Amino acid sequence: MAEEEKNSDAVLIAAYRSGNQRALEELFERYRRPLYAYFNRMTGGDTMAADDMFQEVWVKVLRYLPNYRESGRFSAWLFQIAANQFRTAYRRRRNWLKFFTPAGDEEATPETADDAAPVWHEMDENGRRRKLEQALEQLPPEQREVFHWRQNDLSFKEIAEIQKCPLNTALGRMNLAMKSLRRCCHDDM
Amino acid sequence: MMTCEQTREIVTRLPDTEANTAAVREHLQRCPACRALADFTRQALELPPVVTGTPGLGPILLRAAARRKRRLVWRVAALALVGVVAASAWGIGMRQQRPAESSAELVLAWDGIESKLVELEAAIDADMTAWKQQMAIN
Repeated sequence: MAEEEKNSDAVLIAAYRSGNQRALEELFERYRRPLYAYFNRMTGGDTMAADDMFQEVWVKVLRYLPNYRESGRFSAWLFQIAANQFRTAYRRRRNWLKFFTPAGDEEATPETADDAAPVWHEMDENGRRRKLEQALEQLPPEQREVFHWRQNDLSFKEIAEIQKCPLNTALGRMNLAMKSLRRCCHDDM
Repeated sequence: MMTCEQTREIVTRLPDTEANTAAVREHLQRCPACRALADFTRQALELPPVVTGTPGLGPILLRAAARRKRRLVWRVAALALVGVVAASAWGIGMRQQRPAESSAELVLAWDGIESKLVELEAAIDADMTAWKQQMAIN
């Protein structure tokens, strides 16, 4: 699957480099959803910030694609740009908030599930999806990121490279994320 | 024999039971809590996020074009600035060199004038001598 994806991406990139604009549209169509979902999740549903970061990533892709060297999967390269974009924006936002937020207000404590809310195995797909998104918002950004990249079939090695951390840290973050998500989703399976 | 802690570490990254080792599968068969975590992880990873609408490629291409134009303007401005600085440096250098050159020119010019004066004096002397000789003959 990963090899197939890599090959077809490489074909599209080569076609785009030789002037085929349609290939770019196809590449965009292939990755727009996971990429936008990443920003949407990481910004906690702030669509304006997500839109801006999403566009910025594609502007960078258009700039660097002619010189792109195929050393791994295109998706990993693209998600790396996205993660860098988010980190830059997040750092700026955090610095900005430091001035205007009283100490102690910045970090929200993860909430556990409401006892009256329906449990995970009783929910339909939409209900689960909503619950999962709410639970993801409670996670620290690094854990949220690992979960998102895992959902998009990135290997832990690729995730560790994106997060610039050792492999074991990425694995540990996934472990913590799943434990917190399960607690938040009121899963009593 | 695997412990719950070891199994949970594995199933959160590899929730697909079939893909796990025999030891993990065996533990999952007899431990409902670990099995529940594996099931939950698999279900959560399979739930695609909700994406209602994303910006299209059109505005992105426009943004990229504007960015390219801005980069070009900056590049031209930088080149122009480098040109101005180089021209100024050259001008300053020339100005500093100018007095030395002028004095050299003056020396050369003076030397020229002096030799001309000597020549002129010799010519006048020759003329005077010739004139005196003429007068004496007459």
